[in-house]
Amino acid sequence: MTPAANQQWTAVVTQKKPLFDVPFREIWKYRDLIYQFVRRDLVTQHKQTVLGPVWFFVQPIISSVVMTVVFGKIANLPTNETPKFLFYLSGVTIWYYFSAVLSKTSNTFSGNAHLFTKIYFPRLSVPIAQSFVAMWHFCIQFLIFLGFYLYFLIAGYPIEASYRVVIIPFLILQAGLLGMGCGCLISAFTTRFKDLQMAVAPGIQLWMYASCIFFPRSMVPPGYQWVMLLNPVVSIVEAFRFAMMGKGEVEIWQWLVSVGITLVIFFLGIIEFGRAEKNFADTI
Amino acid sequence: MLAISVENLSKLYRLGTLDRKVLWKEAASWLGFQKSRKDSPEDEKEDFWALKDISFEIQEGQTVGIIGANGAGKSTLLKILSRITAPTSGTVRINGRIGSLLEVGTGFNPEMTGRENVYLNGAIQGMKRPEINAKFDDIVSFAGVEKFIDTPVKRYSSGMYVRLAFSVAAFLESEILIVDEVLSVGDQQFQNRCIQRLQDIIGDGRTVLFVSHGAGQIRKLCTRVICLRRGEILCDGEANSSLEIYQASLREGLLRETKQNSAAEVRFETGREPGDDVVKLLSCRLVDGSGNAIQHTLTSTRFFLEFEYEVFRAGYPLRPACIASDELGNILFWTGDTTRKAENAAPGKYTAKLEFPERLFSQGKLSFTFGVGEDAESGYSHALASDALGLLVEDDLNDREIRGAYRGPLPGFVRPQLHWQTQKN
Repeated sequence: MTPAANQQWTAVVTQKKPLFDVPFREIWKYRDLIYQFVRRDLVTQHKQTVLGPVWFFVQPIISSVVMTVVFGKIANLPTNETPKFLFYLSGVTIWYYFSAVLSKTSNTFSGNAHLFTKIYFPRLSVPIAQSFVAMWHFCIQFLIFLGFYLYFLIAGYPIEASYRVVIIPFLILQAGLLGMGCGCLISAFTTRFKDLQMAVAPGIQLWMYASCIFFPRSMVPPGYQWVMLLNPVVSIVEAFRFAMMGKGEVEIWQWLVSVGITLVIFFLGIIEFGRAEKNFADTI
Repeated sequence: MLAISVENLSKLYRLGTLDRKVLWKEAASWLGFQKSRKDSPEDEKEDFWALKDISFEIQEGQTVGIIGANGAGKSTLLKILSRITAPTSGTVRINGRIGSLLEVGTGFNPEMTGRENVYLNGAIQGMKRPEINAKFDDIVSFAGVEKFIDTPVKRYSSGMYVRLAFSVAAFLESEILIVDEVLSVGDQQFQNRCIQRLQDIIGDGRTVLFVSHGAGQIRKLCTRVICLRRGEILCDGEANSSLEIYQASLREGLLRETKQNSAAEVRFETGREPGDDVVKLLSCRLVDGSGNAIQHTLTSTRFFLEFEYEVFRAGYPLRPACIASDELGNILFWTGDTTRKAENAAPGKYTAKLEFPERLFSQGKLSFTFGVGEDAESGYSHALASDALGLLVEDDLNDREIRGAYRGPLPGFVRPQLHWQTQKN
């Protein structure tokens, strides 16, 4: 009974699937959906709040002020000779972006169960949309950073602007891929082990402490430098600082290791995500 | 050209819950503490094949009915066809975009306006922006919400909400459309428009899958019917002959199935109770004269339908009502509680109890649909449990009151004891 084989099909559904099967073309077809998801999040986020998007300005500034006081003034940690406030603000800005992508995407399956069990669309469009939302927030926060940066630059603080900023888009992309990869991995495993969901928030906090957000890499004792190497965020943060201010502690090879780890995590995340998506409706 | 081809499709479900022990085992095997992930033989007892080796093909432009009792595998088949879940084995090939009128309003965001939701929901269904632009006015006027299109949908009445959701799905330009018995959406006027719309779609030469467990609408709309029974294809062919086989099998399996499977008492799962923000149904049962839950009874015995509901918002003239139907979905009658003044019901829990007197039904399987609606001109239903309870009525062969000395079968849906006057002239 198989004239079936001689025909063009838009979709073939089986249990067997190649290990790495990302429906890029389908996701592209559903790009309007990604746009609508992004729009939904941006539109509904600030309904019924008084300050609305102002919160995005408040968050990193408050954190940085607190860090400047606690770590900079009281604990007196060094900041690569750059202005303390700018040092913390740069770390916080890129960290918030990374952690936002991670925490939003790690919730993909459990947060969208009502959608996923009822209608089909390429599931990856949800984490992709979430990453864009986080990226939009990052853009706003980056503008604030730029504002302070220009102030410190003009005021003559020892920071150095240079052509190195061209690397920044790549760092942002890398942080996004890393966050999405981790998020996809976690959300894939949460379909079976809901424990992970509980671990995300404390996990992100721990990770922040290990990511050179409020101390420079040089402060880490030599015996623990390998941890810094294994943590891809460290190189992103330090490279970001280096590109913006001319002071940061990262070698090219360290950054390349970080890029390598990022790509591995990203593809692992997408593979596990694809596996979880197939039988999600039955295991939730 | 084929629209759908299904080859040797099977779907296995594991019964039982995922408890901690199972999860620990699995986690341990992932981490390499435990070697085998093979299931032990005892686990296999809990396997349930929702679909067993099903094959069929559907030509482009066909209107095919899929029929089967509850648990026959209809929903599983639909879930696989609409790619929500993957099959355990077998292959499904689909040519064209599949749209579904199964889950209207999925992904509606209450904070967003009607307009924004049309675009969001359209995109979820796979429509592109220009397509939605082209259909937008049709969608809005079909739903009849022109005036409120820029209002957040959380301010909509539940009727408006459902109508708008349905309209988006109804105007989706998919090559294949899956329709459940959704046509119970909105008021009568809107339902008529829905059926009209569906007939237009069929007339356009699009492929339509119509899913139901009642024969009524399927016979009207479909040329071919596939019947499922316990995960297998019972018959597949021209509508009328297929439906005949289906009905015969129902009658045959009636007694056995009812005695085993029908629920005597249903407590709706928290969060899944039928109803809206005004009324929700909590539980229901069929009981005999002494209050025991029953699954079967005799023609000569009276019984009661009881259900509990909770009113959350005051200001609605609410009344409980019930529809009794036979195993084929033919409605025998409707009855509503007109004894209570259906004024604005105060919030709180209520129990409705409906008595069916002895000698009302004849033998057969009954199915009860009940709920709480408005005692108003529109008669809007706030909470409805469709076919939630079933009852097997067995013929009481010793019921002399009605049968006299005769012990053979008697025809008919009802068996009322009527008043005879016969005299010798």
